[in-house]
Amino acid sequence: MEGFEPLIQGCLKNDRKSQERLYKQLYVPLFCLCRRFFANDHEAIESVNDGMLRVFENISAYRPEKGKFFNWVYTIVRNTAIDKFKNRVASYGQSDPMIGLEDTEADVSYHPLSSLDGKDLYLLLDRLPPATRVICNLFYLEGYSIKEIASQLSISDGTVKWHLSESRQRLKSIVKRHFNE
Amino acid sequence: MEEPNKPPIYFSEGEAPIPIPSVDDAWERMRTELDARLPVVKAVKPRFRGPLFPAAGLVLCAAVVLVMVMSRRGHSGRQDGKMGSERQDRVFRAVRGVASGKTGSGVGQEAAGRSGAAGASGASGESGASGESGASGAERAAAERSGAAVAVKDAAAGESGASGAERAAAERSGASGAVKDAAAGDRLAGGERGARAGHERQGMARRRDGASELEGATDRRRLNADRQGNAQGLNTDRRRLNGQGSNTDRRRLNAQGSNADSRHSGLPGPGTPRQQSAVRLASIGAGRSEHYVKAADFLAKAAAGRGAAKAGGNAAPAGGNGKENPRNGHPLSSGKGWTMSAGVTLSKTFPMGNQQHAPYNVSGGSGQLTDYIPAPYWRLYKNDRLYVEGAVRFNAPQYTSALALSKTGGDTVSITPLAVYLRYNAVKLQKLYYADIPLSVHYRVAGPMWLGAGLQYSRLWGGVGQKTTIWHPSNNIGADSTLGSTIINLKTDGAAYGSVKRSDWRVLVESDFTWKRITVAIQYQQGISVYAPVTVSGQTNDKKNNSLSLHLSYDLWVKKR
Repeated sequence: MEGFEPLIQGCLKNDRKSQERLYKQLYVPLFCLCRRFFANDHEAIESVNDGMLRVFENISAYRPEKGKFFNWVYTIVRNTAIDKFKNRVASYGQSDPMIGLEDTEADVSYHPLSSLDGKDLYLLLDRLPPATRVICNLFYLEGYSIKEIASQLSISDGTVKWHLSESRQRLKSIVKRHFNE
Repeated sequence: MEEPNKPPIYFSEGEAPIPIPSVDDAWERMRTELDARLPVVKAVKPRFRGPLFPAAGLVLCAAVVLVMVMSRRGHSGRQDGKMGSERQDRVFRAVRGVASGKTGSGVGQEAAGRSGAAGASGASGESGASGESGASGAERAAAERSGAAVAVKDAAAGESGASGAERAAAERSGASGAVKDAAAGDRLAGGERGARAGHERQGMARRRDGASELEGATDRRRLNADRQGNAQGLNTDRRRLNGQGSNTDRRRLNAQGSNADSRHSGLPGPGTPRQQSAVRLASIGAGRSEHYVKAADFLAKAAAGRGAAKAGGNAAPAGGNGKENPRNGHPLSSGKGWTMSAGVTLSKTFPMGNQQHAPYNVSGGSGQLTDYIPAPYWRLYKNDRLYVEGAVRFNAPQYTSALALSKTGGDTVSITPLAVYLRYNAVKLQKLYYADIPLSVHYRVAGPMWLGAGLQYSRLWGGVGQKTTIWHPSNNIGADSTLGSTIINLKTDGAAYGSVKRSDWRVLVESDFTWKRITVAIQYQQGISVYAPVTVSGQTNDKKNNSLSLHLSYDLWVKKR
């Protein structure tokens, strides 16, 4: 996965071939990342491309001493996916009725997805509503804290907790049925 | 929010937990976005395209400067005429002072007469004070300005009243009609003018005799004698003018006439061109009748409308119409009869209206040098006002609008069970290339400006299109998605290329500016028929080709008459 240096140099010169090689090298993990945010491949590819476009546009801002290149790209694409989700909510009014609910007590210590493999994970995430899906993804899979998620999505901590609780409730029956089978 | 800086969980290299869509399709979409946001600018482009636009600008600027210089030259010629008139006016006054014997001293009058002669020769463009050089100056002045030719006639006429022998010589040389007319007109200007002419003749007679000293009484007697002779000559010429029916000459004088003469005719002031001319010729011809005869010969030739080139003129009037030759310096600038020339043309076409500027060559590449292949042409001149031009132009670009030429495909693409798309390949036109064979007729309207019109046959040579892959939602909900697009040579897409007509007829109009062997032209072409009568997605194209182009031509070969 590493060995990006010559590709980065090519991308700095806006060389299409270097950009293509870099894109294809990072495509699979980035698509998997975005696929967890969105329910279909089309939106996931759009998100990947938007993120990679930002990468190519700002590749001169990358500083190797601050971290690995893959992590830098991964962060940019993830933030792009989050922004895309926020814009979609703002554009289509796809707001969750529970957003704004404050001080909901929820147990967030239990990680029901930790024992699942990758394929099952995606199947389960597809069952969740978009907002719950994103928050669940950020909290359980990306390792964000509740405060970070609340800050990123411009919602309250309680709302984040409510979504996490909701995700557990919805997934509970599915997981039980899955393991019983 | 801090970067996690750790490998993402739930991802292991070489293993994808879910089906991954084709990376090539995703890259095609990515490349489309990159082309829009981060277009690749190759280093070779400026090398080829850079000099062309400045060169076109330089050509335009040169054309404008040339037009200004040419027009200014004509203006300065008129200015020279005015200044010459002023100088002649001063000379006239000097001569007048001499002839009127203001000083009362023969020696003083002679000295003044000499200075007057010198002034006259200076007015006619000579540095010397001799009569011979003055005569040459008169000829040159006549060659430079058509109006000056008539001035020489006037001068000859003024002199003719004073010298019967010289007048006879002028009549023998064939200028009698004009001379008589001018002489009569000159004398009719008034008694004062007659007196002045007498004064001038007095000065001339003195110089002709070579007298270095003249008595004041003798001068006065001569003055009286000249006045009498002038009166007699005036009556004689007036009768001759009325009796011999010199209306033809008068018309010729009016038709050929200098504007200066027509402006000043009938004005009895001392600065009228006829008087000035009389003074000038008097000064240059004094005592040298052979020069006067020479000037009269030139007058006759100019009046007969013969080519001024034979008279050694620098820019003699063509056809006696008083206009400067428009193709000054060009090998075909004078003469009649059929002749021809051949050369090469460099053309630059500009997009018009909704035509798009497509920076591609005929193969779909980025180098556009092949768009500027010089085209050979030939011209067949009937005379210096009319010619026919033919040319053969290969690989001539024709800008077009983004016309949809074809739409094929329609196979189903299933991204997810709920997202099913229909995939189409659409080809949109970017640019066409033709082999042009124009034939046009050009007519000189004014100066170096020509207007041309003609017909052009264009044979399809190639084309460039944009091939786009479109995903259309099968349930018709949502917008089309463009997966990717590439620039192609239209010949590689049979359906698209076949929809463009092979032949195209156009009419063209053109405005040319010619200087020596160089011609700068602006041409507009309009197609007669629709170039691509296709119907795509229910829309039928009804557009015709049109273009605006700039041409820079150079005559490599000229067949002289």
